[in-house]
Amino acid sequence: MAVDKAVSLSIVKSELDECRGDADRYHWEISTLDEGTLSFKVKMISPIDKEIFIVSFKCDNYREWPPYIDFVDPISGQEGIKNAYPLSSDGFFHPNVLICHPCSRKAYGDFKGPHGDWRNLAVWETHPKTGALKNIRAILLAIYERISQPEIYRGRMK
Amino acid sequence: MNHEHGHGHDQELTIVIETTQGNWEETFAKTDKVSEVIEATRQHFGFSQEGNYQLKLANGETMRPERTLVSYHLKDGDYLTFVDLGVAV
Repeated sequence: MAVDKAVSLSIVKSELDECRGDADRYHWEISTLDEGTLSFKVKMISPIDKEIFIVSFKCDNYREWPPYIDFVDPISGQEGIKNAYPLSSDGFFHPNVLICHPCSRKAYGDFKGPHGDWRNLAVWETHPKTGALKNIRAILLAIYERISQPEIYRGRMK
Repeated sequence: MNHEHGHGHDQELTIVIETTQGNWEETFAKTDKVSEVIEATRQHFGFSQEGNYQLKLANGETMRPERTLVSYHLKDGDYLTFVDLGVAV
């Protein structure tokens, strides 16, 4: 069942407010929320090699559906290309240019993701592999930690 | 692990664990391992077993799961941050 846009907007605004402390602490730049598309971007810099990563979120039908998360190339502005993505020691940042996790709508088979076995977007919050990544702040922290820890971070995907 | 609240005992430590679902103040034995605190936090907030959980010190250092709390020289009232890095699936 579709979530009323005003409801999604209210939730996204609230969750973005919860990110302000981390944004100050980690020097994230959070764009203005586009209330028409429920989308926004977050720029973050790897403290390891100073690479810039721009994460884009589209939160239509949130929280019924997980956000549609992608990365934007900081030079070309192209979205969803390998050069826009970080690389980690595991497959969280998937070579098919997506975050391979239940919190990422792009990973689901219905959105051409690799997980054809994930048929129901609406259960993303209770999927056993979702862990604590149940809100925007938790997702952003997971991404930031992954570009901040030398044991995990492998630079830019190419 | 001691789940009874109490302050001031020489062998115990009361810390605040900050998560994206709220903060949790709890008392642990100083000799508890970081991995035990992570597991207690996971259970307290009802997070699934399949996360990729870490605890971080206020200075941003990631705590090693095999080490004890006392080895980090924590004191009562210190804040630790609980983070899920997400499991790759």
